[in-house]
Amino acid sequence: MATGIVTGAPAGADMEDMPLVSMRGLTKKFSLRAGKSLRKVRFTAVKGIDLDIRKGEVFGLVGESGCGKSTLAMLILRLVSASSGSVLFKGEELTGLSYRKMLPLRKDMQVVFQDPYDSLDPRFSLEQIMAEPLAIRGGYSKSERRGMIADMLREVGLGEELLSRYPHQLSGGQRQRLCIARSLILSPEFLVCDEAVASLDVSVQAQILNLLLDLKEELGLTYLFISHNLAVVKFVSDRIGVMYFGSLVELAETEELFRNVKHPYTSALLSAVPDPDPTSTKQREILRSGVPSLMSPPGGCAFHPRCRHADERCAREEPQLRDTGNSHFVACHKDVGGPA
Amino acid sequence: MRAIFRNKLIIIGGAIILVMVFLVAFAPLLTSYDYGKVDLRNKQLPPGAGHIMGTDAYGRDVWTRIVYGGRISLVVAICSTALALVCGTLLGTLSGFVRGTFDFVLGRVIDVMMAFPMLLLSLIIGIVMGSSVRNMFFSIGIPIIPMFYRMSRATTLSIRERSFVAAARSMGSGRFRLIFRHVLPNVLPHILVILSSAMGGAILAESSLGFLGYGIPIPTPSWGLIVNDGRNFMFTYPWTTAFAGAFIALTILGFNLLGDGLRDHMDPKIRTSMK
Repeated sequence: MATGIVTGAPAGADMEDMPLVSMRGLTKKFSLRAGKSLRKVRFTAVKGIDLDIRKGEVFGLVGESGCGKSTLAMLILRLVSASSGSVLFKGEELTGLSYRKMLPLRKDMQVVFQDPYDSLDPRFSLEQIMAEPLAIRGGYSKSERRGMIADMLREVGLGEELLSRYPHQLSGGQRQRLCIARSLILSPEFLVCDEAVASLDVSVQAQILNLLLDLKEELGLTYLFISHNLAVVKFVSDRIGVMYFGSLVELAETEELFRNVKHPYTSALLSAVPDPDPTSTKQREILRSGVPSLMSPPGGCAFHPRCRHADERCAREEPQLRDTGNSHFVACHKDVGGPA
Repeated sequence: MRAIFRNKLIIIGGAIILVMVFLVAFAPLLTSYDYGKVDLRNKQLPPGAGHIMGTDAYGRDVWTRIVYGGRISLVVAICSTALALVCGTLLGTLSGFVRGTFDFVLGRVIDVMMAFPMLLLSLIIGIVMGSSVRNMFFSIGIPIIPMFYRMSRATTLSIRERSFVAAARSMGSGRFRLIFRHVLPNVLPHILVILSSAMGGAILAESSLGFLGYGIPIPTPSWGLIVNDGRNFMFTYPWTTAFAGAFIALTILGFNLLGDGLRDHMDPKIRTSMK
């Protein structure tokens, strides 16, 4: 596979530059009963992803619903297990590990989910929620726990007076702050934000995004930031990967990607970003048809049925990610380039 | 913990149950009659001075039979429901949580149990194990296991998909902790709702078994049995059935209120709004 070229790391990089998370040919297939028939249909949700996430960066992952972004996150966190391929975390292979062997590694990789209400047990008070990771980890005295919880809550901007409250007594923003505090209390190195701001008001989104960026600087974190919202991803990310139909179709540093869009899908995504200027007469690029069915994927390039640049080669041959210079990778046969 | 005494449902329900337990525990002090003594000259007396709840078709004092009969009814109802609750909820939660072969096999076993009418299953177990109070727990408890099993399994299936379970997993929580700290506490309120109807069913099942001769041996009374005794004379002399029935209804109401109260108490949303 395309091992090496995707990393963008200079040749002869020493151990310091080793990627924090490294995926090679990572694939997840699900099987599903089709309707009422007994026949099981297999479909590929994540297809042979090669990707390195460098230590200390914010890697943004965008794509429309159902493109496999969240599945990819679950694969990295090993909340679902891969069908094939591998995930290396700090150089350690995760894919073969048993549930039990995985437990000690989980401390270093945490996740913040989309819905801050669903991700907090409604029967736990704030104090219990915050104490849980510490209790699972073990080895902290009661006063140590107290201190750590108080510090962490202050860090995310929640007052100690909230400790006896329950999730339903908090606002959405407070809940998401709590989720962040909970995932950071064990000082992980890697944080997955799976649509972490999607269910919040726009003003609260900005608060949470700024909080995440501040915490990243302060604690030296690495983020995988998943969103369907390009504007949000642009704001936080150092590098961006665009996913379509289970594969990475474009990958570049944030500035480079926005300056020099190469994949027709990315340009369609960009044209869908709402423009706050009411007098704007931006021409939107409307894609033909919808997302093809995962059950009967199109041959060749998965995007070709919706792509206005597609020709018969696109229908026949699946494009691979290729380097176009400037650490800009694109999986497209055409050399389209430029905004649509 | 003090909040528990602020919950009216728990207070009323608990009081009803306490009174019942008190009556049953101190039965010998509350009556001067013998629950089995037949007195055909004084049969079917209406409630009055000598017999506050009248006498039945054999001239036995109904009040005496009710306070003694409650011993069997309450013990059987509580123990058999507790047995079903513990087994059904644990198996159902486990089944819904691990799924796979375990769930499939257990699910089919439960389906087979549900294919039998409850009473028939009780009879079969009763006949196989022999009739004693202890065996009644099994012959009545086992047939209501499916009720708890299905409810807890269905609830578990929805809870295990919630993000807080995934969050706990990503924190490194083991399966045991996931089930007992996160899933089970969120399943329990749903279980408490069906608890009181299971309890009522158990009291009635005990009486049906008694009626068919596979319950507690005659002449030991139980509430269900007293209702049955009076049933033949329902239209000419309703007192026996009415009093025993009232006790059954009151007990079930007590458990019902207690169950609802506990459910509310366990729900932080309701508990915090009462402060």
